[in-house]
Amino acid sequence: MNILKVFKDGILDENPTFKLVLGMCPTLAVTTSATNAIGMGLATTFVLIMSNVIISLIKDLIPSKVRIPAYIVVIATFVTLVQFVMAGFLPALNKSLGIFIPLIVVNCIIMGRAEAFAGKHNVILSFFDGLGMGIGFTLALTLIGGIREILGSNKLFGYLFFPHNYKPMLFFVLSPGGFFTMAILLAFFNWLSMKKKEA
Amino acid sequence: MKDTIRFVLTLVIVTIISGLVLSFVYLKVKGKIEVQKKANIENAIKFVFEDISKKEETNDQENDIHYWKCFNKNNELLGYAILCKKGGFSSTIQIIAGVKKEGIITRIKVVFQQETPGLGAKMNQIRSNKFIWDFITGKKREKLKPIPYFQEQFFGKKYAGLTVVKHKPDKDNEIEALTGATISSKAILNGLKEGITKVMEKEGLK
Amino acid sequence: MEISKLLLIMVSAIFVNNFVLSRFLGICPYLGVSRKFDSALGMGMAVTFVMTIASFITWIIQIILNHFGLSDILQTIAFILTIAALVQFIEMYLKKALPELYKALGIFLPLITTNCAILGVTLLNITQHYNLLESVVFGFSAGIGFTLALLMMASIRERLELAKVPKVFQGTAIALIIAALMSLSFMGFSGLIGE
Repeated sequence: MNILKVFKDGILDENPTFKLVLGMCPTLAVTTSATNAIGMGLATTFVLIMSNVIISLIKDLIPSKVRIPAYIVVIATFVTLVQFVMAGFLPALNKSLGIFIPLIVVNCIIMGRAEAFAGKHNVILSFFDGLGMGIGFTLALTLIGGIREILGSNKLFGYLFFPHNYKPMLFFVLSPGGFFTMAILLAFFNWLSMKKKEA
Repeated sequence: MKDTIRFVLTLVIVTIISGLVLSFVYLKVKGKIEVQKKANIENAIKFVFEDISKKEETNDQENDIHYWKCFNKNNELLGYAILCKKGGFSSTIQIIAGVKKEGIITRIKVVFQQETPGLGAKMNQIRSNKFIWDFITGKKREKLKPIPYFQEQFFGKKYAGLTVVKHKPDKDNEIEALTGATISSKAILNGLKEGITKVMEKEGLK
Repeated sequence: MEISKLLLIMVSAIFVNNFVLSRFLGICPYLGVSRKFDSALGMGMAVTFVMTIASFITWIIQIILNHFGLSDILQTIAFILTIAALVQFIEMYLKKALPELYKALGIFLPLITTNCAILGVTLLNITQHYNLLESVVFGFSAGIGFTLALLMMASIRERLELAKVPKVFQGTAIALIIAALMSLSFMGFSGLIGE
């Protein structure tokens, strides 16, 4: 296993959102705008990298029967650190992400990577796995957030996108639009990988 | 038995280390967090009374009344900055309202809301004319004032007779509801009315 | 007054702000455990059960944390550990005392710790400033709302087995399309509260 492959897998072949379909709750809930999506993606990336690193360091010290609660404590610690930073330095983002910041604790991507990867590999590989997965997650969120923001409120990162006479389709910002956008994107990526297999 | 002790001990050690790390970091950033918590309300009060230089806080938790008496630098009473709360569609909306003693709203600012994005959350939306393409073309546009258009409707109006309508307002006491978010719009109006009435009664102005 | 407020919380948590369809909480089990009606029912009941008890206990823990001024630091850790321990205890208790119920719910219990709907409920109780009774009612109704959405999804998916779904949409994608339509129709309930 080399570093580059682990890193690339996280972004493309094992993309947490479109390939593994993990962490759906934040993916759908915070993607009403691209800015929120990036904020959420970066916060999750930080927790993912740090928890991967720490867990791969302490994996031999933890008896396997209590590893899950121990991992949860480690993850929750880093989530709380993110909460501190958000509350102290990014109040606007903190307000719009709301309870989805503490809910990073139960994001299945983080626990999933701790179990499937960091608990079995060394620190350096775990770091790059966290980084790759985090970037993959952030890119996926930004894509969904961007599409929903452009179609639903005719904006991207808060700036107007189409000329004024475009009437935004509110549907895409509301919750059904979240499910719908995700479904279409998922089908699109399924189609892409099918094409690839055929070729 | 030996295993149980080992399990418990491991978890306790992990938790203690995490608690220590968090407390250490918290003590470093505590000041910053508290400033931010207060800044939200402080800035709102400065926004509703621009000439403010001194204020006296009243916080009556029993009757749920929280307001600030605001004075300018000549020590003349400008009015009251009142914290109004009301349950909206999916959250409790909190507003700071500046009210003169004749019952005229100077300005308002929503300080907390978690309403539906795209509907109720538009109460904080600002009209904008800047396109993302402007960064590429370098086109300059005139600056619009950064005041949410929904909230601006309340500025300078007498609070007593206000009503929410679903069309373009044609009378002075009408507020146009946000499209598809009548509940949030009415929550703001009712929250303001209730909050202001309580303070007016307490101050003996009515 | 008190009763009507509790009713409002219930209607709001079950229909208007349904946990799955409008707040996007608990999507993983909603997509993962909705292939069979029976397992959906078991999961729904287990979640409702844990949510109600977790609302009660975390509310008390929040009071204790507030008392020591630790709620900023330890809230997240304390809540998630409480839920994990609670799930563990319920599992042990059911195994001994109610083996029948354990057979029905047992396999779903370990999945519940990482269900964000549970942690979500306990955190919302705090941000909405609910009192103890309101918290428990909110937790229970949120669970019912979750079960309702899960059961509807499971019934549709059982029928979908017989339908011809385009290849690229098979699996999660078509489930998300169904979820979108369901969420759209649930928006019709939004007139139930207000005024």
